[in-house]
Amino acid sequence: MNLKEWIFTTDHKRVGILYLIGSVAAFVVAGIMALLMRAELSAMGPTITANPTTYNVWLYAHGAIMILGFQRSIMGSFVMQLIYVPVLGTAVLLISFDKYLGTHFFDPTMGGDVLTYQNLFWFYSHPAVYVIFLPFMGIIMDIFATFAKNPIFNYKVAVYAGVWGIVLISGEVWIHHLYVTGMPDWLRIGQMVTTLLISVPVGLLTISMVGTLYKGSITFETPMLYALGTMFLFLIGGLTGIPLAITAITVNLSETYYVVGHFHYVMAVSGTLAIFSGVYYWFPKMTGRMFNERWGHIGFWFTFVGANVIFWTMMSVGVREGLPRRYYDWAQFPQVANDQMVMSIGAIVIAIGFTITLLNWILGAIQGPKAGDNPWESKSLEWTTVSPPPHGNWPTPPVLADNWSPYAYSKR
Amino acid sequence: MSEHRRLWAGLAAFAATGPALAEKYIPSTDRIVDPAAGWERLWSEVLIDITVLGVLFAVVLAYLILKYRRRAGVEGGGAPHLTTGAAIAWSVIPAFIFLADDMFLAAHGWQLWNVQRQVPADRLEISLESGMYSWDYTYPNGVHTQNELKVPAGKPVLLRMTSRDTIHNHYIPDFKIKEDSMPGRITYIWFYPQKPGKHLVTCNEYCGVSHSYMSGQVVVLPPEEYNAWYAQEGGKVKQAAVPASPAPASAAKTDPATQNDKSV
Repeated sequence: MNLKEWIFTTDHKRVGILYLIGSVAAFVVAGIMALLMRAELSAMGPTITANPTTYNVWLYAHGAIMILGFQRSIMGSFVMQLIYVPVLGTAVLLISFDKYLGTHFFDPTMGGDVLTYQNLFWFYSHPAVYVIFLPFMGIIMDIFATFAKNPIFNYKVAVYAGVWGIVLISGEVWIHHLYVTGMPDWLRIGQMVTTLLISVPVGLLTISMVGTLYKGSITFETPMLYALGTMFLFLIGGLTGIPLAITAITVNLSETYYVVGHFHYVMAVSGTLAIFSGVYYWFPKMTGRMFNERWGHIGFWFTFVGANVIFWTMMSVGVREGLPRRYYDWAQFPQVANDQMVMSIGAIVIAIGFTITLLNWILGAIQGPKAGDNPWESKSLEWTTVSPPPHGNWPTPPVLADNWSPYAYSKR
Repeated sequence: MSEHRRLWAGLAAFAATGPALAEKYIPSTDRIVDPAAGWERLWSEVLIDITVLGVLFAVVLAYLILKYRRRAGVEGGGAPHLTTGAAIAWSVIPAFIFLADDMFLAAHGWQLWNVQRQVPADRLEISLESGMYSWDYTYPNGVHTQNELKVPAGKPVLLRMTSRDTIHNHYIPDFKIKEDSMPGRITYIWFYPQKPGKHLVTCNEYCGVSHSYMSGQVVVLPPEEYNAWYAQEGGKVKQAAVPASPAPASAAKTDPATQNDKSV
């Protein structure tokens, strides 16, 4: 294993890691640019540079490096990773100590406590779901604006109240993962309230997304179809989370199929559709070629219908029968046989959808028609360069109008 | 007063470990309200709430999608510029509505929670010890049963739960209640069986390879029938010449008097 192997790898996992390192590096560079700007702006007059052009270079680099258009969401995610990941690291270390070094942090026979691990784990893992959620929300918002040809409705509220509101509350709700573990009664009630409060920033984000369509000029190419599908699944997923926020309801529903169904609506499938949406959206930019629109639609409908068949049934079976999750066998629940079959069929439907999507990407990348620089007529900066972008991103530095904005679609 | 007691009980639980936890403070009440019926009511209320919200959003979304499809010749969107006042109104008013709904649901959730956590004083109290892969119940007179919880109709049942190996759970879907049973900790649930009948019990926390096969039942008997069974089994326990004090649940496995419980 040497450096060359890593740099020239075609292994998707390694590429993923390289992507990650690249993103972090880019973020650091862009962050340094922001710090330089802030240093410059910290006092009146020339502070750390006397040349305004130097300042403009930082400004440009800062914006361009965070080009993917969801820097706000990404930033929220980074803040959460900074605060919560070390706690997960601690939990993992302690459990390794218990396992290999003979310590007893989580062993009650030697004075440890079984709930400590769960608390550490969920203190990290609940905010972690928003680390996934926020970037996908960012992708979807970009796509809504582009295909409705409107600026994002109430953008500042979406960012400051929506994104940062979620970041703020997300650290104070982890007990809702421990509603049936005998945590103190008052704590389970307190975190019911904080968990319900998550609906406020999420509701505001949703209004911003729906509002973006108002007086739009909407087209329904594959990325937009996926974005709307994400929105629909997220709506169901978000609303079915409200009962789960209520401790008194969850002492029945916890650990049942209802939870699994809800989670997949709100996180797994809406997250996947959002990523598919993003891949389709930036596909022409990444590859320089166009995918097949018709197969894009067909793949979407298979995935979307299949997901609803599975996860709606799952929630229903959880409420009706209390069928527990993590069950290898459901012998005690013969009445759920039909539901189980329906869910399995749904899984096949999704698999067909995924296969179509994947083939569409592969074939599109190899033999799709040339896409052009800006097939979606987006105003965002990445669409001003050629597809695919060369080294250095722009053949020549882009020239932007004084009043340039990534969301300046509206004529008014 | 009860707040003070709770505080001291909490401090005592912090200060002590192990056996002292068995003295876990459980708030009592004179009222008997059926928590399962309360669950059904709150569930329908929440279901109506989220359905109204969902339909509202979905209808608006569908309307906008249909109404603002691109028409020939129209390139850009025509969203009006939001004035500062409008922007604030569009955040404060919805936030207020969401908050109001949250608080409404939280209040009703809290009411039901009090019902679920305050156990009627007139109750049958049974201690439970879980293990891979069974629940062992110990009645006040020392009777032991495994995976079958016999209770009389019309009397609230309190389970004080712990575990001898890993984390398990005691879930009775028909009574809409569950809680984990854990080594080193005491937890409790209560339910109110009103009619004779049988109810499934399942483990709801992954506890090992046979987790999905860990199951039992609550058998609700007419009171006379239950009393007869209880007296008869209690007599057997006495005859077995076990020391007068009821055996601790952890002794269930080694106590010869309990080995034949399954034949009951």
